[in-house]
Amino acid sequence: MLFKSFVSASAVALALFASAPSFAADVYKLEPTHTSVTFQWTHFGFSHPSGKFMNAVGQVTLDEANPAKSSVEVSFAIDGMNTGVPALDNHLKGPEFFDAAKYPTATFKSTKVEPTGADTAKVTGDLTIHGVTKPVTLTVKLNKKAPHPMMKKDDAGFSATGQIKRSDFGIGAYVPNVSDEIDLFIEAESIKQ
Amino acid sequence: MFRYVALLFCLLATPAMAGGPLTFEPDHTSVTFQYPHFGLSHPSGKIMGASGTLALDENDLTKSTVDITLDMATLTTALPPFDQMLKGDDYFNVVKFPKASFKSTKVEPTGENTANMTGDLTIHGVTQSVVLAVVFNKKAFNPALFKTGYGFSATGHISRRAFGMSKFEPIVGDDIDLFIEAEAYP
Repeated sequence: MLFKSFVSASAVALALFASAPSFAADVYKLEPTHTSVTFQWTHFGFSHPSGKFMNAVGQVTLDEANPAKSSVEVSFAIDGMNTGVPALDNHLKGPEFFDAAKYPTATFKSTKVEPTGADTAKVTGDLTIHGVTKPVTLTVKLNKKAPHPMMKKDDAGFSATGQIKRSDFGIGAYVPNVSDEIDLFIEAESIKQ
Repeated sequence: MFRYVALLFCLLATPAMAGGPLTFEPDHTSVTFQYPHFGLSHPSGKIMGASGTLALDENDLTKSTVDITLDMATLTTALPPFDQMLKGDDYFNVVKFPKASFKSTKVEPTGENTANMTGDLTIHGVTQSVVLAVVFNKKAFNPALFKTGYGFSATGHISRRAFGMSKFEPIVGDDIDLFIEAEAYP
């Protein structure tokens, strides 16, 4: 909501989806310490608390010749959730919300990539949270593709946004005081394999 | 039934805003900071542990003031080893500077529910003047707390170099975006 996800209109942003130096798709492994999903909701309309997942496990397959054939597959451990309020973390991980003991991971697996510009795309996929799978479309921007300053391998960085209804995933406790609509703000870096 | 009785009681017992300043609610007051990482992504962290007051003058907003401190030990990025690095000597040095504070010096209304709030921000022992763009989200009875609540969002940005924390520039950007959420109650 207030998060600035598309900060850089980066002049450096390569026309990734247009350039075609290779024929085969390249696999980029998501970098767990620079990949995050922030989820934000409205609390009685007063404020917009948020929580965050890190330590992503997954990969992006970039097909530069045919970007529609690119894909992403990622999972997050629910146990890594962090809101900045430890008691709330425990409440959210518990049976009233995510029920992490029973559903320890959330996953997203893309089913369709539709380029919308030189460095933007709509990525639709199956999002599984709390044992429920629903299609979700994310608005994705490629921020930059460049050699990582320390790892010296190609790093592709992305920002993405989306919105879900938590009641769709069977996590509807306290709606509407705690909003049903959850805004997603995703940041990702991925290292070419 | 209890809820209605309690509601009625609280409405009667909470006369406008004639009383003292409002207190920030620490579980619903946060400062998120976000920065560019080599242009690739925009990592973020959050600081909580708010303590302080909002003296809200609803008749003359320019006379309102905020005085708030945050507990730097609460800093979290959701990556514990990275939190330790940020809290250490290279960055916030929370042992030496355990609190961040903001004390407003000027409030200029910019619209019906918005204002620019200028104030002295102290981080890492350094004080700089900062302007925050504040949105007043809502004033309403909070049935969970049985009190009238005031909710705000605010944004701003600072140069971390100006606060003596320039490590790993320019791979880690200097311009830090701030996203503030706050609730205050009598």
